[in-house]
Amino acid sequence: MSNDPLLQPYQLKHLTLKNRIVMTSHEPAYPEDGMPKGRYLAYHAERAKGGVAMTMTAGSAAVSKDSPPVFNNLLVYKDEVVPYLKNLTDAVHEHDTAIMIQLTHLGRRTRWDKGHWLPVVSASHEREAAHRAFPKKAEDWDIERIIKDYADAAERMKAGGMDGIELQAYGHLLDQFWSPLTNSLESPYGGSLSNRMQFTFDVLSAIRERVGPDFIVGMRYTGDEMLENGISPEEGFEISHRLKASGMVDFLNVIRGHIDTDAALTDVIPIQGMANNPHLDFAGEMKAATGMPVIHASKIPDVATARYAVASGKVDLVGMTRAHITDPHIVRKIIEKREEQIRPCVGANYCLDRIYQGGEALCIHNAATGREQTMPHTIAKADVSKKVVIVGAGPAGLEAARVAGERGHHVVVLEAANVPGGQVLLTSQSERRKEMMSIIDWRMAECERLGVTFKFNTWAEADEVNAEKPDVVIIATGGLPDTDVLAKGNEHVVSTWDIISGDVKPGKNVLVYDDAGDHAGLQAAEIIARSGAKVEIMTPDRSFAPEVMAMNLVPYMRSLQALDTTFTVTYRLQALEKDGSVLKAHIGSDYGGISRVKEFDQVIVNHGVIPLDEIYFDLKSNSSNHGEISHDQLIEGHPQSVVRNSEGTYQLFRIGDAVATRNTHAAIYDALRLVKDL
Amino acid sequence: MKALVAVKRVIDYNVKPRLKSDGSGVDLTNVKMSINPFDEIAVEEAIRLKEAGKVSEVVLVSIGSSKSEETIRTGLAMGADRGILVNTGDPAIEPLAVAKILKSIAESEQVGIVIVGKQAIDDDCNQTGQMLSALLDWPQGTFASVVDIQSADKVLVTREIDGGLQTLELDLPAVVTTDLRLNEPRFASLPNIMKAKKKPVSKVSLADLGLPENFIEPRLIVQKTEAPEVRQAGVKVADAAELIDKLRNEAGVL
Repeated sequence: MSNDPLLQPYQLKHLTLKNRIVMTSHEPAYPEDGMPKGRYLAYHAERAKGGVAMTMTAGSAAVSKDSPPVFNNLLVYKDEVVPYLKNLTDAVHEHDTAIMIQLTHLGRRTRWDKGHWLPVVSASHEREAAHRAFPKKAEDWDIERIIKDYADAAERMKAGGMDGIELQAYGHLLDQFWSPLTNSLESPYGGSLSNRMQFTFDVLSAIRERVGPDFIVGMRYTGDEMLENGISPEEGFEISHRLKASGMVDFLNVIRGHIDTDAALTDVIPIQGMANNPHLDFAGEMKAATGMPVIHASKIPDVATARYAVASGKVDLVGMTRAHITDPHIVRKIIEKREEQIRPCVGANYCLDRIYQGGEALCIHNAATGREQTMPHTIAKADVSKKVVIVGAGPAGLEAARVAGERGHHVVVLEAANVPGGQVLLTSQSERRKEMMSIIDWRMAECERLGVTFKFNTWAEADEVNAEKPDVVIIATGGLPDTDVLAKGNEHVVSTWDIISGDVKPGKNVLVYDDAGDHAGLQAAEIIARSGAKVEIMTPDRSFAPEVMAMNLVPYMRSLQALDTTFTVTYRLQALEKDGSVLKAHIGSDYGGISRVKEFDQVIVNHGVIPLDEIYFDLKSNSSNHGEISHDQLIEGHPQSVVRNSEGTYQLFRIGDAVATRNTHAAIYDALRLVKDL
Repeated sequence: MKALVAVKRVIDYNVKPRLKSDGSGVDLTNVKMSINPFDEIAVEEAIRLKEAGKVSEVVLVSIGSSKSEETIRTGLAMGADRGILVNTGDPAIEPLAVAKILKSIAESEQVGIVIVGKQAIDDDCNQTGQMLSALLDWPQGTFASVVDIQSADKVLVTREIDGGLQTLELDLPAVVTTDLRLNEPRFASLPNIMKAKKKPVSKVSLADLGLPENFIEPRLIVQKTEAPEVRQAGVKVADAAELIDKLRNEAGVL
């Protein structure tokens, strides 16, 4: 028996959990028609297989029709959910992993122009900034029906084979009743803390009546809203004591903060560059004060921190949720003493931001997550070992090298620079985003384990590639900044890479013209603003930096607003004219009728990259497939079999930004889905 | 004023060295090689001096096999102007021979300052700069943490010494060796790696420099190379009495 604190079993009521690592409730937005179907099941089953003690499904499964999901959550107000749940819970239980689900009524944290177009309901008319709906103030019949909805949903969960449920109470209806900021009701549901908690206890009583005393019911709630006149820590402790005293709650899942703005949400669920485990001590205080079983998750991305959280007695069960989105097999690797092989969560938060922007959670550097039905987390060996030459050691090239190595191929990577990383090297120049290098470091370590050969300082041309006598050549050379966007004066433009790499010193009065809208624009703007320069970020779009996405934008805004950066939307930079040391910027608008001139001493353009594809075209004619990738075979997961040149001696493929400007996830997905079938 | 910077191709500092099976040295086959980090600091310093208008051209020199051209390209990608590769083939070359070759180049190029790393991280000799200074009869500022060129014939070099900092005023031309805190080398971006491909690197032999071939023959003989002893795993003792017993009877230190 291991003496690792993380691997000790834990008894939660009648339920024995085989270790201390859990995934807390989260909704990766994988439901189909509001039901947990194949994709949902495959995602959780993979993590169960990986050894996690318990997986908690469904962030915010909706108990009522007037709680329409904000992003494709489960609709547990429907009876038809039960058989789907049964399949899901059976698949997870098969691996001796427990499974629970989170139920909620979102209250004001949703929109009225969704689902059945019912008015949004809360305990006051206070609007939530993030979702913008002005709520109806609940009246007696609202409260009665929602209490019944909770009980009905809990009964469905029990019928579906769930080991338990947790009720969500931070930013949702239950704690909208708790918080003086969002409860303007009269007695019996408004006023004193007892009154404000009454709705929660009515809900709990109705649930208990329906599911009995043995079914596990927990609360995930904020113990401190961190808002003036909101739920204070003192009130949070009092709430915890009252939850315990009710005898209706079996565990506490403690968080801290509020989530009604992007920035606040990001403090509750911190991203890269923010402190690890910021609320662990607070959760520990709750445990000490109540003696209740406590679960806690908030940026506990690595095993060492998780081990500390449990060994120090601060929590009983540690949530490693985003960590499991990156690597579903964390516990198995701990048990097999392969901790160093755990694919690290880099906190890029692509998973959460993608939910709002793209409608599904995806991991920035594990393209198999959420695609378990088609993409493997464990790569099988190929029947025939091939010689695979990869040009470029950025994310795409390294993923291709890793997967080809796992396939058992003989892999050589040629890289122009003296270090691996590609564009991630630029990203990691930002102190706040240097965790991104783990995407590279993990792959380098895996490649070393798999015997991949690297040739650095090698500017590969056709001769260098041919000398390796490859069976397969993969071009992952990325690109170079494209700044050629102006009608006139392109020669005066500086690229974001020039600034980020330090090749060009920032000016004093700088325009960052950003129509790509990705991280590079803001990263360059931040470097320039920090140097003391005046910075204006301009975009022709109606919002700036759309590809950076909501939670990732938060640290940039905190930095750039403090540095007095100007944000200008809906204007297009058309041309530059140099007049002595002054650059005259001619500015128009896609809406028409605007022509202005503004003066700067430096102009940065962020417009993605142009592929570095010379070597690809040099190698094309002697390849068997002329570089063609069959999209059908790629999508269906079949080996590539295109032959356009029977004389060709190698297959040639191009991936990542060497094809067109995209992002890290796209580069890694390109590599995984092509190479897994090589 | 031209600056000459010597750059050495060494085993990458991240790599855990493995010994050759015959004990004759470190196995370098298929191992990642990089520019010596102290030399990288020297390149950076020379480029900064050029950016400040104190130096007109940064010339890199590397001595070794044709693979050392990679090391020169790394420096060129950072911003140096051109390179000289002195091709001496594969054998390891000792500091005195390096210093003599550098002397020859410093004289023929008529450089105003030579900047070299204080030592290479493979053999840790820490000799080349000092020997070069003596051979050229130029002043030396070793272990520099600040290099401040005052005029065409004066440089202030702040050195890290035991217990503090010492600032020397040297007549130019001079030899400077770099310490860790002199600067943080810049990142060589891909556009600059591309530009570096087009920068000139002249390849010269010892004969081209008018030096005899036997000149690089080693003066030292490696007797054997051994890996450090692997640390033994510790044991947990149950109590203080057992600890004292072990210290007394097994370790024999009490």
